[in-house]
Parts: sequence; C-alpha cells; structure tokens
Amino acid sequence: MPDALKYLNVRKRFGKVRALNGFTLRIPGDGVFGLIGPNGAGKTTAIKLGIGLLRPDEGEVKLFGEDPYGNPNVRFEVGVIHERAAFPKHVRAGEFLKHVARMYGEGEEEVREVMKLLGISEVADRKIGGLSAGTLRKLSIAQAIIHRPRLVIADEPTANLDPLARAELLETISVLHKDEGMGFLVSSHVLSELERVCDRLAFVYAGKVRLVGDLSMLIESFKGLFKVSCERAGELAKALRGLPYVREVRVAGGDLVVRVDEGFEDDFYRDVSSLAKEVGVKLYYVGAKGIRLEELFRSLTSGEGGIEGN
Amino acid sequence: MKVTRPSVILEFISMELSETWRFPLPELFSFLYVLFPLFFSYLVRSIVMGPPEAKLVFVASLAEGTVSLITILLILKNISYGLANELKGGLIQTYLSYPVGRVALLSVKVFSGILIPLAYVVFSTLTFAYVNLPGLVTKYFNVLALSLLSLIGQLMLAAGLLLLVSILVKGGGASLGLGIASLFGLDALSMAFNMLGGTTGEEAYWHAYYLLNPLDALVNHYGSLRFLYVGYGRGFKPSLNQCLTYLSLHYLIVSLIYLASFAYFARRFEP
Repeated sequence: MPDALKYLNVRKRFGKVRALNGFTLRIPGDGVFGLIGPNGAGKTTAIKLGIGLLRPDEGEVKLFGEDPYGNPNVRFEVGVIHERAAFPKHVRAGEFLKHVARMYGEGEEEVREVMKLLGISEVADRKIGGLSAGTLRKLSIAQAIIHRPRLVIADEPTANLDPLARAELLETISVLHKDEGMGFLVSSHVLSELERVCDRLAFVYAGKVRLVGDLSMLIESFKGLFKVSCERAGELAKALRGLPYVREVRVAGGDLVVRVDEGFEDDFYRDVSSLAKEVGVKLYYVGAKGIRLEELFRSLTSGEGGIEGN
Repeated sequence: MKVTRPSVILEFISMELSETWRFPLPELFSFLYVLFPLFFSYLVRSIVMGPPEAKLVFVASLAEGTVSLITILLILKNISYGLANELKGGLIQTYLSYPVGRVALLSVKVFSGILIPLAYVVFSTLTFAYVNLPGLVTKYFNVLALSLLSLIGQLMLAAGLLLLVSILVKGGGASLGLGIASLFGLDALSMAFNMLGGTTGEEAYWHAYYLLNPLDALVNHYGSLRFLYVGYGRGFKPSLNQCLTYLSLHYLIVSLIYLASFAYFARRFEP
C-alpha cells in the first residue's frame, strides 16, 4: 500500500526555534499509527505540515502523493482532529455538521449516523459555544469522520478529557478503524494511551524521528533489559558497569535498570549475584524488565539508544 | 496551486453567514441604514446648490458622514475583532483543515466581513438618491456612480488596512487597537496633506489629499456641499479627468493593500 503521508528530511523553524530538524517518516494509511514524543518534540508541527497548514523550510511532505500546502483538494481524503477544537460558536452542532457534510458531498443521513455513532444526537440543536469539553471533542471527531476519510489525523485527541472520556475516545478510534476501515495517525505524549490503540509507532524527539516500527517489534528490540532491586543501588551500579557485556546501567527510583548485550542474559543473572556479594549489597529482585512504552521512551529521550527513523 | 471546488466555497459562505450575520445584527444594521435616508431626506430636498450634479455628489458625501461610520464599525467588528480572534483562537486552522484553499477562505471572509457591509452602503445610498432625487439620478447616473465608487474606494482602503493589520497581528484585542490606530493614522495623513495644501497653496499636497479622498475631489469639482467636512479650505478645483485619475490611483492603492493581505495569508501565514 502506498504511503498515506510521507515526510522526507523535513526542516521547519519558527524564528530561532528549530521545530523539525531532518524529520523523515512514512505513514501507511491502513492502520493506527502513533506519533509519540514529549511536548515540544515536533509532533504538532509535523501534523500541521502533513495537512498543509504549514510549509516546510526544507524537505518534502506528501499527503497521498500530493503537496498538501499547494493542493487543498487532497484534504478530501483526510479528516483532522485538532488538539484545541475550535468551531463557529454561534452555529448549532447539527447545522455545523451539515455544512461539513455538504462540503464533502455527503447528505443529512451521514450527519444523523455519525451523531448517533458518537452519542451526540441530543446536542444537535445546541450552539457549539455551549457544549462541554467532552461533547466538543466528540463533535471534533464527528466532523473529521463524517465523509469516511482514508486517513484521520488526530493531534493529542485525549487532551483535556477526563479518564472516562479518554477511554471512550480511544475505544471509538479502535472501532472506527476496525469497523469502518479508516486509517489513523494519532499523536500523543501519553504513551499508555497509544499503546492501547496503535499497531505502529514513531518516537519523535527534538524534531526528529528517533525510532519507528511495529509496536511488538519495538518491544522486542528492547530485549536485554533487567530490573535489579537492591540496597545501595549506586554501589552495585558502579560494579556492574565493569562487566564487558553491560551496555547501560541506570538508577531509577532506587532500583537499577540494566541493559545487556543480546545473548548474555544468563551470564547477567550469574554475575549480578556474585558482584552483589562482592560489594556487600543485599539483592531483593533480579528479573527481565517488562518493557513498556514509557520505558522505551525514557530510554530514547535520555540521549542513548536513539535509532534513526527510516 | 490547485483551486478550491465551488461547492466547498459555497458551503463556507453559508457557514460564514450563519456565524457572522446572525440575529439581531442584520436587522439592527438594516434599520440603521434605512434611518439614514429617512433622517436626511428633508435636508437634501430643501438645500439649494449649484449644478444638479452637486446634489448627487452631496448624497454620497452625506453617506460618507453617516452610514460609512456605521460600516467602519461593522468592519472593525467583523475583521479587526472577528477574523483576528478566529486566527488566534484556531477557527481558521480548523477551516484550513478542510479542502479549502487559503485564497478562497480569505475571499469568503472578505465577502462576509467587508463586501456585505459595503453592499449595505451602496444599497442605502442608491435608495436614498432614488427616493429623493429620482429625476437627477436618471439623468446624471454617471455622477452618482462615480461618487459611490469614490466613497466605496475610501471605505475599501480603510477596510483593507484593517484586514492587513488583522492578518499580521493575529490577536483580537491587539488587532482592534492597531486597526483603529491605523485608521487614525490614515486620517492624520489625510489631514496633513489637506493642511499643507491649504497653507502652502502647493497643488502637490492637494493631489496627495485627493488620492486618499477621491470623493472630496468630486465635491470640489462639482462645487458641492461637503457633509461634516473638517479641513483647511476647499482646495483647488480638479478637472473631471483629474478626478478619474485620483480614483484610478486610489483603487490601485486599495488593490495593492488587498493583494498584500492575500499574498501574506496565502504564502506566509502560519496558523
């Protein structure tokens, strides 16, 4: 399947701030793709470039093979959910959706369907300015999917929502992907949320893609991580750093996170016990660390382990 | 640059009208624009002026001092406050995420925020002239048309400045403040040319003044009265050809300002 969205060595500055610095990424349109990174990493800038709200200083951005800045018609293929939803405040919700639907050549039936799907039928006659944050977010989704786009681009879609609304929204994304076949690009800095819905991820940090791949592959690529609970972790850390196959030792919350070269896992179990005895440190726990996105992310943003995106 | 589909533009116009021209705004302004002809009818019918054309130019001058002020307030509300807040608040970003081009979107905004208020002025002034001076309007329609073109040109210049400031500043309060300041600046410049022309007698200053105020050139050409005139003397009497030149150059300036606004919005504006 050809790429839905493609960035090739994109650079973008805002004054002295370098928002994107050699950003390269290919996003297929057939899955749920996560764009993850801390605030200020460049996710929103990448999304704005992707839908043609911004023009790159250097590099190339293609949305379904077209320049999104120069060709507004390519946006017939996408729906966009912005982080900060802004709609005409004095227009009624149902009326607004009818306008959007007609823009895409859809009728009132689609409006009714999408409002029912998102559970906002009862606010159809209310002015948008009077809607709650949660309902506004649902309206935001409704206007993005009303024309059944090939790709829905959502920038921090769960921002400012309570936990229940967040869960609902993520569920909606999953349902729309599975039942309607819509592709999604979802950006977030809340890793656990993306972990629930995405099948592919890209980590963005300091304006670059640091790592990209299937979720399962990413987790696999971070094998060899151990968690060591002990007393006086700093002393044991110093000793562990002397082992030739230990690549990284980090003290995190009183525990140690140790990364070893592939194939040395058994050696590590043996050596960590003997080293602990040598330095007189009591061990409480040694085990393979169940890697979660948070840890992957921390590892990448700590300045080590960065892998260039493809 | 690919163009936006007409159906999308029409939908944006419809949405824009629902948002900007909602009750009671059209009703209120329609009332104010109707009030103008009612209020000044007696004045126009009773005042004796030189040539008949002067009466028609006076109608435009009356409109400049009355409905034009309402129109400027309306444009300040629509553009300096409304559009600027939409730029800042993210609504324009939402709109630009739909399959609409930047030029098309700004055209819709200009249509709703500037052209509709100007249409009110044209309609109100024409109605006023037809009701009170039906014979003159038929016979000297070209004079009335020229006067209206001059009046609309002056309003378009002011509105163009407000539009440019709004796009550049991108913030409701600041845009409003700077917009009003730019209108005062334009008036101050006008007054400076007027005073310099009046005190030194140099025609160059009057040319510059008439360039910014082509309606005043017509007023002086036809020897008409001037409603709410604040200035130094009547200035020199330009020929009709000179009036047309001022008007053409005035529209050239107006076009350049709108061109700059559209070019900036299309090529440089970053939501």
